[in-house]
Amino acid sequence: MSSDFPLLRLPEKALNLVIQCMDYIEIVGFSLASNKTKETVKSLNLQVSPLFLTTEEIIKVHVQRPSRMFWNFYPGGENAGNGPIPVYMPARVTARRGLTREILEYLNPGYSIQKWIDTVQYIFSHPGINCLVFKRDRCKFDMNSLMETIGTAKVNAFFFDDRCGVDCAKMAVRQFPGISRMYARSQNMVETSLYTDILMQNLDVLFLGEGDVIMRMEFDNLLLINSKEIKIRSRDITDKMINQFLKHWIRGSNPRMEFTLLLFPDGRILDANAILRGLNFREAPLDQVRLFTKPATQERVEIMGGYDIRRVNGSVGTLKIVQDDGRGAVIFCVWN
Amino acid sequence: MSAEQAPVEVPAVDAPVAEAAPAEPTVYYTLESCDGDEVKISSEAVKQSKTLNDLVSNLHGGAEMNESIPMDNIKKPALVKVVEFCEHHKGEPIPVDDDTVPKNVTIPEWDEEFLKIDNDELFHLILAANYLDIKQLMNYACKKVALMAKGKSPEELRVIFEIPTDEEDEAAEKAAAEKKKAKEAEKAAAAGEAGPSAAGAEDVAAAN
Repeated sequence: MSSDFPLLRLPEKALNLVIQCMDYIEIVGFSLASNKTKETVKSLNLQVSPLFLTTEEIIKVHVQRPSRMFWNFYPGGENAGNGPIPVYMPARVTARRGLTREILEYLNPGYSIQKWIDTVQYIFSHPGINCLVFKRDRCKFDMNSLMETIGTAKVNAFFFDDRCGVDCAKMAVRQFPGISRMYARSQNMVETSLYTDILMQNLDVLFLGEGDVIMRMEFDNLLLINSKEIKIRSRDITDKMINQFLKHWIRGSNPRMEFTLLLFPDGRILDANAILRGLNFREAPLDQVRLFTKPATQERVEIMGGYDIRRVNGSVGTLKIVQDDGRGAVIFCVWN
Repeated sequence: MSAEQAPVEVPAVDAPVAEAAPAEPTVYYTLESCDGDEVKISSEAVKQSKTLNDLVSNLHGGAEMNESIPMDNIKKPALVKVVEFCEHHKGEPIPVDDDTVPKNVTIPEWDEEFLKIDNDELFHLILAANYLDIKQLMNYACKKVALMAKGKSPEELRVIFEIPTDEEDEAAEKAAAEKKKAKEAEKAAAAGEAGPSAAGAEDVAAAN
């Protein structure tokens, strides 16, 4: 049986069908074979999202939809030392589809990480990197080199994960000023007073804490936050702090805020009277359901009842106190 | 209910018996490969090929044809395989196009065996299936080719699928461009030689 198949000599319809029968992992590999194969794949208008780039001991890329794919880029000997080091030329690349154990290994692929990222973005018409993920206490890679690797791709969000440290987060924010979303869920970032300059950023989305990562939050830091959509998981925010926060909002603080979710772990009981003390509010009936669309993410939230509070500039915010199964939460949304 | 209105029971034996519909006779068509060999295909099997089905129903209303249908660019081996496939799958519904990627195609056992062929044969089989628009065969054969890519690096794919490198592509394009240029120069030279003599002939004609 002959070992090769003249794929590019097939008529366009048949060639396209062959590619459409491949898994996305193979489609990416195929598009890296030559400019002709790259253009062939691009013409199919396939799309993927979101695209994550993770910096750890090594650099990883992963895509979630339509099928999950993971690429790990392994260096040769030049990855030694604690860093910051330049982004390396991968000596080998492994690819894995979904949650399978099957790993494909490409030896000495001869492409820089930048070329892989560029190719994935080009063939899937994907304008940017949805998320840049930092997991180490200190970023192993030189930020300028990381920027070069990402190239012209727009980075939309940061994930500060695992053990990512404050210095690493600050450096990343300085290096990539156009970021619109930030998710901090690192054990090394629970002390929010260490990065007030990040809290002040004009972000669309700011999530602080998740799961067992619970943030320490002082009142002044709460007032510094300048994001549109805010989610904070903390034990430190007292009923009195929420009350003060709302009073400051009425007078004009946190002007960009559109949606805030405060989550309280460990069965905290919220006192509505303490939260509403001294506020001029109108209580909406519980059977009144209002749909709120978060402007930053276009996600829709059902608000049942709640307390309407008017700001000095005339805009209205609705406060909703949720208490169930020993878990407390406060939702505050500003209607446009 | 009066006696007149009572339903009259007709004994079952007197009831008219529906005659079994006569089995439709199988009509066969003859396909002629580009190398002059003839292959027969049944009217049921023809339905697997949109091209053939449209051809026989439009031109001949499905009736038996005396003359063979020429298959201009399909050689006998590929044509025989195509007919074998259509005969095996006759009566099966034509698959509907789906836009999912990767396409949800599983090759059944019979077709897996059927496609255990040399890559050159597979290539010509796909060309034939594409020309005759046999959706199911296209799906299975193209899936078989796609499976060749599983777990392969870009370098390995280049070898398996005979993909020239960008440099080789450029060199081939350059060579083609030079060839074209040389041909045009040759043409121009030939026209140049013919030019003066033709003009001379005109002068002679004018003088006369």
